[in-house]
Amino acid sequence: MDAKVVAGALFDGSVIALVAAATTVCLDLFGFLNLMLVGAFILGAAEEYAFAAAAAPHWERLAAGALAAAIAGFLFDRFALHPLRKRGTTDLAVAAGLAAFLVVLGYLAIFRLDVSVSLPRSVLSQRIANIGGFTFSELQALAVALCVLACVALHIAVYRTRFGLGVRAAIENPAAAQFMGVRADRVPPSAMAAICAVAGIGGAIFAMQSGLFAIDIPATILISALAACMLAPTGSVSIAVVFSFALALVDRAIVARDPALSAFATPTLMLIVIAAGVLLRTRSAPGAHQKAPT
Amino acid sequence: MALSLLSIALSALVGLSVFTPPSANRISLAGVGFMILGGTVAAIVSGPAHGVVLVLLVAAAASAAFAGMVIDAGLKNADAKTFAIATLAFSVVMALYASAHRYVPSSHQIAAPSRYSSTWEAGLVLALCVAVCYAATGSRFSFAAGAMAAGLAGAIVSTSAAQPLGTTALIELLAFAVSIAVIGGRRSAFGPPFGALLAALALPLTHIAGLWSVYLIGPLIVIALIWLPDGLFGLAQQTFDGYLRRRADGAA
Repeated sequence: MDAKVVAGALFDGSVIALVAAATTVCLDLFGFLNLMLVGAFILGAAEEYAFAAAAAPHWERLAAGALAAAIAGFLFDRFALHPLRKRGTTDLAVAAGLAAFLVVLGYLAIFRLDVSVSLPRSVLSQRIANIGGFTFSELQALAVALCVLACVALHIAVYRTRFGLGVRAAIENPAAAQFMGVRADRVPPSAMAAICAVAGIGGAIFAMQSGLFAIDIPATILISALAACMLAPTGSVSIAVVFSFALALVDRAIVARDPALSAFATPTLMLIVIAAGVLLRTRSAPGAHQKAPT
Repeated sequence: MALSLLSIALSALVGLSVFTPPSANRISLAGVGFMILGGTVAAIVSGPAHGVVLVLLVAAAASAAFAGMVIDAGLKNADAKTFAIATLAFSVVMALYASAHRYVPSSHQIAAPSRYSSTWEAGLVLALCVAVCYAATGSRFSFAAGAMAAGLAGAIVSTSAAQPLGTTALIELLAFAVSIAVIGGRRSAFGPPFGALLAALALPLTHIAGLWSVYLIGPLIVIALIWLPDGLFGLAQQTFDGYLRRRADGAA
């Protein structure tokens, strides 16, 4: 396979993996599909552009994207999810995620961050490194490194610390968590902030590459992230990341072969992958072989 | 006035796509996908049918309802999370297929139907869809009934394959559909039309609020979710039931 295709797939895979990792952890901890993460991705990208327009250094742009997404995530959980959690209905939580997405769009409209701007994106993407005949840009290397760091940090924070246990306790039984000294109004919002920050980093990295700003998450990135989440066991960050890179590689290979074919082949492939994921999940679900009560 | 009646009918049809009452905790995000499917089928059928609206609507309704039945059968045993991901994925894939239209040679591209549906046609379609959804309440056809409504909305606005939909617009449209259903009442087939009517009545307020209306819509939906989980139609129904109960107690 062409080294350029692999390098491109590593970049795409990093962005997909960040969205997929955030989605799968949210599914596991909070138990619903959070479309606020798409808002966090867009917010990360918008802040990156705003800071790039002010000629801020790269680390500041990334930090701004992650911080804005984290604040949005914290506020979303504190003011929308926390009151809804008592009802225990996931459909209302999904609807709240969609409402939060609209809030993000409103924020971008009010602060004029949604205007179409074109910025020179030359510094990182033009610096080329060559290791053993494998050529890649500095931005591609940064994307992979950040993806691995962010995903490992999220995994450790959620699954290997007392903080993660506290989040689970606060979501499953807020009253019991309160007795354990876990603040149900602070701990889950902090976890949501961390999850949204990961999606925001994905948006900021993606924005660093593209020249023209558009308030959008590319459909191929969103569908690939959903497919990776569907195939990987819920909450398994590492498997979701591996599937994200694999799907990005397949997509890049199809695009390199025939761009016109990829427009039809990629959605079909993703649909098949998601159908396979649904089949696996419904087969492995407890009580799947029993007849559903009518 | 005619335009707003058409928009109320369209909003209500899109809102009905969220209507999946048999399974608690489930929310369908496939409405936009069914809309695109219905619009594309209407565009394909438009040529052979010589633009006869009834034929376009029947074709769009049948294709969307069939797709709805297939998806519902596949997701019968799925939990709420899997259901949400799969239905969203269907919408995104349909949007991607619609975007792929630009790669088709212009001689083979699907043209949008030459004639748009009138207000009374949209009103008639809405009345029919509400009746079908009401009849399908609690049955295994309720998801397909919602899909049919969204497919018909797609056929009415002629969401043809010539107009690709970005993911932001897609999720915005989904948020709109869910808001209509949540504010109106998502447990009843009459809820989304009620929500669409309220949204149309609130339209002048957005002109007063100006740009801030964009910022206020999201928090308003969150407030509605927290305080009115069954929507205004559910609240009206509860109030009416309470009134009947009190009256019966008084008579006793």
